[in-house]
Amino acid sequence: MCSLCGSLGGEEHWSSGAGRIRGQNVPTRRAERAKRIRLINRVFTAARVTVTDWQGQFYLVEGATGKKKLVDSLPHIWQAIHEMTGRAVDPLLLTHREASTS
Amino acid sequence: MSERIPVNVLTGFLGSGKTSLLNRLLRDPLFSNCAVLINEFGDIGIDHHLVGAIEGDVVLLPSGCICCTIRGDLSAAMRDLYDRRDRGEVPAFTRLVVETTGLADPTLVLSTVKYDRVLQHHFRIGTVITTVDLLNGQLNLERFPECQKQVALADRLVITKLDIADSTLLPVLCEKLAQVNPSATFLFLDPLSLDAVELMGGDVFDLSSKSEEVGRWLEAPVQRHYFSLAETQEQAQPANAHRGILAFALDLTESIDWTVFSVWLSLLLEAHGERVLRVKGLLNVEGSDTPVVIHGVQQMMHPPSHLERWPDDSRHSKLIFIVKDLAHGVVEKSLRAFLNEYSLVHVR
Repeated sequence: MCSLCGSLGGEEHWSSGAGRIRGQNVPTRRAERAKRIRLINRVFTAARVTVTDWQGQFYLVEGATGKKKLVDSLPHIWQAIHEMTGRAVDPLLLTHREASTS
Repeated sequence: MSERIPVNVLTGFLGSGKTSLLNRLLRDPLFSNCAVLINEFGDIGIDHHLVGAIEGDVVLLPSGCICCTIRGDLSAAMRDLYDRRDRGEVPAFTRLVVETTGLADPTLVLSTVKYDRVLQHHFRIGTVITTVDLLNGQLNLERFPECQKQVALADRLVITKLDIADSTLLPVLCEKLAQVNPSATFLFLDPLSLDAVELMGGDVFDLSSKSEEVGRWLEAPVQRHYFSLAETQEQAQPANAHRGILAFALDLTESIDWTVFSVWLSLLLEAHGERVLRVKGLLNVEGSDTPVVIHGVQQMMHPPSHLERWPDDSRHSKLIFIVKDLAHGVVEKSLRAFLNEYSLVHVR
């Protein structure tokens, strides 16, 4: 638990679980998290949704209307984007570029 | 924290021989360190073998195996059993077998083990064992979606009733099963022998056997043709045959950016988790010296782990999907497009 804000950390999502990369140039958890956020923002640029880091524990998802939601894992990000855009996030129905522009 | 106890799920369609298999397990000294959660004591005729009733629904069998009824709430039954183990009221079992009902979806047991706030600290998912009887197995597979799902989710497929069915049915049934689940290991419930270790042990979370288990997955695409059960049934099966389960393998020659891959897979599981029955794979992840093993059932992905070395020199990433009502080409196209578009250089 964070001693400043009292936030509780949940179970780590499988994508960021320990052991995914083993070698000499393993990125730090923070660097990998920042990269993940940059990637998500790229994918959803045209959907006008942005994701930022919050205390290294949560993701802050912001929609085009200013609506905000604090979530703690990738599935919850997708659900928040769905709520804010009214569109389900489906990597099969839409190609990556279409996902950004729908 | 002590090592988590593996939970094996014993499932199979109505009349497929779960009880016969359980009866064998309960008498086998190799399972003396096991606890078994069953639906009803009456079903397995346990009374004759009862040596000691422990308080409530728990009995201790001559083999040393602990047997307990579920009575509706699996989570409560597992917590109760673990509490008794902790208090020393029952022997310190090192494996738990949970029997499902004949029409049950095994993912419900798996999700209880994985997501229950208490249980997840004490138990981990082991192999899923599915019984299929030689007599009616093919018919059940074609007609009942419950049966197809039980087969698709299996790590071990145990063929039963070999002694009473026509042996010429066996190769046909095995081929049908391999179409639905090409990466499962086949075992045959011989009246005289049963390989207990192969049945229960050797899962991908077991350090001593992880390489062998992954090796079995990777051999599957070489040994078997991948095609849709739906396609074959168009020509050969009756109109009411169940359709839509497909197993396919993807081979990716380039190394994979873990962040890009995991975001794509997470998106896929969010949108289609119910239809991705299983995904398994060995990945060549950029920056990682050793291959990364991934493994999941529907939306339940396990944390990735590593093999100590590559099984061959190719170092290709290999993924095996067992899906329902999803097209191979669409999944592959989506993954390749995502990896190409968002690989490392593009998101720095």
